[in-house]
Amino acid sequence: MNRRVLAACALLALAQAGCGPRSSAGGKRLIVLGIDAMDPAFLERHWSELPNLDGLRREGEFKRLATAIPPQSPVAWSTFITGLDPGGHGIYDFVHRDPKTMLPFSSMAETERPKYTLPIGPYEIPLSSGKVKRFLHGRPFWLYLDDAGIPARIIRVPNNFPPVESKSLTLSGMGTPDMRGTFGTFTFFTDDPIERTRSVPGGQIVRVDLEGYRATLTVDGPDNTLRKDGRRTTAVITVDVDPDAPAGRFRAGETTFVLKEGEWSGWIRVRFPLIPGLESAAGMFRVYAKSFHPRLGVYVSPVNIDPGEPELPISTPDSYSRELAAAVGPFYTQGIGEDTAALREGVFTLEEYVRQSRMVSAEHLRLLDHEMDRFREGMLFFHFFGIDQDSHVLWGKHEDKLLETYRLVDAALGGVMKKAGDATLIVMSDHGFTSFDRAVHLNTWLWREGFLELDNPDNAGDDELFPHVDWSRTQAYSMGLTAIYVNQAGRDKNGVVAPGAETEEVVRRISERLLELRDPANGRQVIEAVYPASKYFHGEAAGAAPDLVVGYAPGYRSSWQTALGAVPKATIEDNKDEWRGDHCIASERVPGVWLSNRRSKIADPHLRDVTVTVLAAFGIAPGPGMRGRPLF
Amino acid sequence: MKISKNLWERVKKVAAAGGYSSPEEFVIHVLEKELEKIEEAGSDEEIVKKLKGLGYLE
Repeated sequence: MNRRVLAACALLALAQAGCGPRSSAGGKRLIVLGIDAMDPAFLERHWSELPNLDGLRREGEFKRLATAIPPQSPVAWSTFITGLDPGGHGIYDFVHRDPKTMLPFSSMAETERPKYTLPIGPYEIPLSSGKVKRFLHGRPFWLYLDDAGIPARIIRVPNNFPPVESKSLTLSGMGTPDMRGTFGTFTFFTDDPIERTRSVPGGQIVRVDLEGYRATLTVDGPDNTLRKDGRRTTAVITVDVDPDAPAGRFRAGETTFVLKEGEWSGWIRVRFPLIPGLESAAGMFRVYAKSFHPRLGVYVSPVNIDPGEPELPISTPDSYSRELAAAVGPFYTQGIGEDTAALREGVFTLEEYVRQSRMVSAEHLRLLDHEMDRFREGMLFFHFFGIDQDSHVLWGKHEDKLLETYRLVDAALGGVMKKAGDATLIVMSDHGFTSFDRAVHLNTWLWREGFLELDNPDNAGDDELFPHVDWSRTQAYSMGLTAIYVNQAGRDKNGVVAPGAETEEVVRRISERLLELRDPANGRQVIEAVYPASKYFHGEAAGAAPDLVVGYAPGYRSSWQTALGAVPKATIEDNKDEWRGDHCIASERVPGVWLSNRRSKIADPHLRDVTVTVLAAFGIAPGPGMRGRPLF
Repeated sequence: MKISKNLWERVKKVAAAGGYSSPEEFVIHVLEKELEKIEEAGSDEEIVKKLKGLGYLE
């Protein structure tokens, strides 16, 4: 075979390797940008400042997109992903409860330790792999695309950790933990003498002392699951503070870097030792030098799964996250990278939070840019979280800063539109937004109405997990952000209400009373809608549904105490938190956005319609249980 | 492990009344039960701590 033929064969082999199996898309392209929490009313107030979003509206159309019941991101995205309502996909809240133990758990994923291990000294060597369990029922739409040979790139899709086995290129998003298995745990090191080492929601404050001008910062990594005691691993950062200038020299692992006050490091890759000299776990974090003088203040981000060397599955194929990291550099892999927890604890000022949020956005938008450059046919889906997290802390008070986040998305859309060609382009969101002014202690309301009993009324307070509930006299309780459960015999651990008619009667009475509830502070109706399971949740996963989902009026939301099973004294209180906006209310009040460069034929589109529309774009019929309508 | 004579007498009495085959069996049973409680409480706290990292919950 001569050289020319050999070269041609090599080129052909390379091209085929890049393209994968032969595509059936026939050149068709569909781009869906999932912009979490993009609010239609916000857009309407700011079209003139969002030229690309406005341009898309004028070229095609803009409508409100009806959202799921309840309108929480894991619920809504699960509806989009599967085309099913919650009764089909089984996700009803950020926080579910196990009726057998009455303990809460995240609806997004759970890690199980390996069942079989070999003990060696302090170590337990796994003989079977531990599992990460996903709770989503139903079939993600990209599996239908796989079946039909349609190439797809599904970037940072929520509720896909660990990623479902697929021929598509997928990268997991919301629900992906940090290396400690949490939603993200930051560490803030300080030598402020009035501070003490303590845990805070979403982080840790660590008091350190300088020896001379050197401080040793110990960053917690993953639990060492190879040790019987599961002790946490650590990585050490040393910082030598300049005695005069506001700067410090840091060393972490093999990496040395200098930061001035107010500067961020890049991603620092470290290895956490599991068995010394043998096994270690890769992770990465970023360092922010908040202050050096007069007090040391160093923020270390949550330890992220390194996309270049992922210790947990975050992509399909495994190599995809490595390929992305090689192309665009390392990026936040934790599902929610914007560190609102650091803001709420006073570790970040608002400006510092916004800056950190912009960094997360910039990294993720680079992924979109990279994929748009390679996108030839099939489907591209990209999820962006910045607007949601920023809205939670900026809504109503810092609209100018929130507009900047929207403008980031607008600019990214401009880039997409330039490269989209004749592709069908959809910009959608899972829900809208509103203010969170008044926090409702739903368990307290249930107590005051006689549906829940305490062992002693003096025990009302912020203790989580129902420590003082008298279950023998309790008919209903709340756990999660919008859920009320009947304390049902044969289902709940201490259930007393019979299933069937008795449960329905409890639900009916609670519904009636909820709709009559008026806020004593202002006379407003607190709950606008109630969604009993018997009417709203049908399908294979309906058994896990709350008996009643609560639809708050705008301005109201369940308190965090409610979500975790506490029964405080007050029924409704002002929300004084930095978390000032939310959307876990009546679904009809927070529709999302539908924007497209094509006109749809349906006046009132719903999230579930978008799934069917995606499939229809490639000639694929709706899957079983999908009741959405094709929008084009 | 050493315990006082007085405590041991109390253990023997309760073990006999409770139908245990030996005081040792009773002691092991009590320790196991207490440890379970502590371990569960630890893991309950961990669960709550992890969930509180989600911005929707404080």
